[in-house]
Amino acid sequence: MNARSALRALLVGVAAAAASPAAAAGARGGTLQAVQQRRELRWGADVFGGAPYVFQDPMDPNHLVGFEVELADAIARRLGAKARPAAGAWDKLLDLLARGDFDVALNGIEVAEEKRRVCLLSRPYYAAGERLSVRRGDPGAPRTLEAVKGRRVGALPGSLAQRILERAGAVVVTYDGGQDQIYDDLRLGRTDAVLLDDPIAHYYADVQPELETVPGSFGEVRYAVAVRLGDEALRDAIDGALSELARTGRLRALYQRWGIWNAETAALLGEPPPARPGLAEAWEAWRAAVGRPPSLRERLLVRYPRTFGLFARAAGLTLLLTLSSMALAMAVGALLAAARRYGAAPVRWLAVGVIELVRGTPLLVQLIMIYFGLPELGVKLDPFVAGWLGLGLNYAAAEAENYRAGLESVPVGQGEVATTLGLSRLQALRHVIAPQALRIAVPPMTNDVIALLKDSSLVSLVTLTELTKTYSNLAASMRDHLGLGLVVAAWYLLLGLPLARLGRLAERRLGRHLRRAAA
Amino acid sequence: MIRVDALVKRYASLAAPALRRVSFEVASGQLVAILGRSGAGKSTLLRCLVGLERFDEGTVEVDGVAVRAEDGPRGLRVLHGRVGLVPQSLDLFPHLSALDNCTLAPRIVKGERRADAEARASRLLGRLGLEAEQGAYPEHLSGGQRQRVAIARALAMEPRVLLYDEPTSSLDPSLREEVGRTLLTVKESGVTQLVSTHDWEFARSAAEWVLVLEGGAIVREGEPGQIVG
Ligand SMILES: Nc1ncnc2c1ncn2[C@@H]1O[C@H](COP(=O)(O)OP(=O)(O)OP(=O)(O)O)[C@@H](O)[C@H]1O
Ligand SMILES: [Mg+2]
Repeated sequence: MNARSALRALLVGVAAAAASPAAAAGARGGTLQAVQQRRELRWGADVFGGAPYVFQDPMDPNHLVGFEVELADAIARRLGAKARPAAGAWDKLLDLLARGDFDVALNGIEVAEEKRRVCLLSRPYYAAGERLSVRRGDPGAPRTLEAVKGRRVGALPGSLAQRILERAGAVVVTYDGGQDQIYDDLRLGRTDAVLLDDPIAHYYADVQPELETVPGSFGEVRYAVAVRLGDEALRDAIDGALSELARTGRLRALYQRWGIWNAETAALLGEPPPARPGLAEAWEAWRAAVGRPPSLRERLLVRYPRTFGLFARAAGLTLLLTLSSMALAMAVGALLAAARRYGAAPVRWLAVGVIELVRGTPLLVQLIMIYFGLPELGVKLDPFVAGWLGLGLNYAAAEAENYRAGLESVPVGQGEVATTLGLSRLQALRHVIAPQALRIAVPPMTNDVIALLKDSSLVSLVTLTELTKTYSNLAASMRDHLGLGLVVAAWYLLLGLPLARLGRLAERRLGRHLRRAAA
Repeated sequence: MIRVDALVKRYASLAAPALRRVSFEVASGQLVAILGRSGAGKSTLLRCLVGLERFDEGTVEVDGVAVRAEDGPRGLRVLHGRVGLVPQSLDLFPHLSALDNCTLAPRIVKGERRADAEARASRLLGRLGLEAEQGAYPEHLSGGQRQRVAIARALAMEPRVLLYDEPTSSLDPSLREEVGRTLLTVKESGVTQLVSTHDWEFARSAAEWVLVLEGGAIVREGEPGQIVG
């Protein structure tokens, strides 16, 4: 097959894949039918966003709780399905939805005109004011919209709050979730105020005595369920379900339970404004669980042990991803290094180009291109495959350079003598040059495995909940960053130290000829 | 037997040819020295004979098999394995023991069984006085021992001709005689030997015939006793 016909075959393949049902699952009302057929509604959310939306129960993190968990269950039931949560970064939920990773996105997605270009929005199911929090007793605290001008104010990226602040001339500091961090920065004086939706302020600011929420609303935000463009049937079904939940008072009850029933939502649902707050049992439970940090004893004996299963599963994923990506990196790296050293000029340039391109661009960009960019060409990869490819190809460039350094460390005489003895080039490479090159390459390779282990945290972007993502989710839900940080560090060491030891063993074995003979 | 006919080698970076119509013949089992000053072209000649370097004109013939300049890089392969080389820098395989240095090529190139290859290599090493060093890595051998391992490694492929590039230059002068004795031991097995050297004394004491190389050409040849510096 010559180059041109190979290219044509590739293009035909790509076009065929583009037309495949996977890419266009949502078209022609297909998703509603699919949901009803498999009796499962897959809804995307970010656990990192924390309470009261979707979060891990601080008392037993193996369970997801939150008002949106209950909402998703109620909607799914009305569609004749069970709700199944799917993980994704909050600011990527709409991209993941478009990609087809789940049927709907339901996680504090704000109604905004520009979103209608990328998805369909259901009728709003909740409305809330934007609340400005400041340090209690801070005389310089900005308490009005006029006062935030030029001040540092925290907000979520792409949110209504961010737009309000920018219009008011504030210096906006954005965070990708992690409500605790946003308020921590305020407490520590890194920001002067925080503008977030009422439920977040209620759950994260109101439990901190050092913080104070300025009375009044700075704007009204509404949440809706997002579905894929072209999925009108599903959108209509969800609208129907929401109307019924509103009519029967189930929505109100749900919000009251979580302590987030407010005047804005009452107006939205056509109900009388709330009188005085009733007993919000779910909010009380949250307060009891995280309002005051639990004792060390309780953490060590009760809370951390309950994270074991989650961390163990995440560690398994992290290890699997690290080892398989390293294997890919080694294979592709060897090819690149061989092409660079032994190839004809065009092959050499190609190898150098690939190495420089991959090495010179951030892994994050490569992952985004593989996961969100390739579907535009009709290539939709499974999350694990995407993460594996991204990490493996990225590290292949580093491995190629390690091998090149190794190959160049072997004197030319070695290959020449092998030739005079009748070995072919490949035989000389395999039996004479590679073993010597490997000895030089192994120490940097060991470093790379450890670096890869840590870089594997970036695959949370492609919805894989590995160790770091598990930690940040848990820390947000349990409001315990330091203790759980030590726990996750222990898990990383548990994986990394044996790998480092393996590297040292390989090094010793390959360098055996340099040691004084043992007795 | 090795016969060289009108061999010419040019390097692009060099104005004059490195070898200028070199012709000579060494009969089977003979031990011949190539004597020449630094830069005379000794290493270049040996690299051509062993098939590491292409030559521009001429023919190299080993026991009836001829390689001509026109045959190109593929032609050189005929020489690999047929002509052995003990390089000046020896280039022992550092990651292999003395024994494995000698068994690698027979096993891989000739497909010999490990046991057979080891038995033969062991005998070779023994004949060169290295019974006790078979398991040692090159790093842990003396200079003279390393050289004999390099010789055994080349002999293990049973070459018709064995070339040595300045075998005395990297050794203590007191070892000169030892090298001479080694060459005689190898001679007993009937291998044709060609030794390049700039050491007049050594050439006279070790070789049966001496070729004098100057500026890439053979200017004189004769029995060691007749050649005068
Ligand atoms: N790869 C090469 N490229 C260009 N010129 C070379 C190359 N190898 C050798 N030469 C040149 O060829 C000539 C002969 O070199 P050669 O190494 O054969 O000499 P020699 O007799 O072995 O010298 P010495 O005793 O110093 O080893 C020298 O002028 C040298 O500079
Ligand atoms: Mg030389």
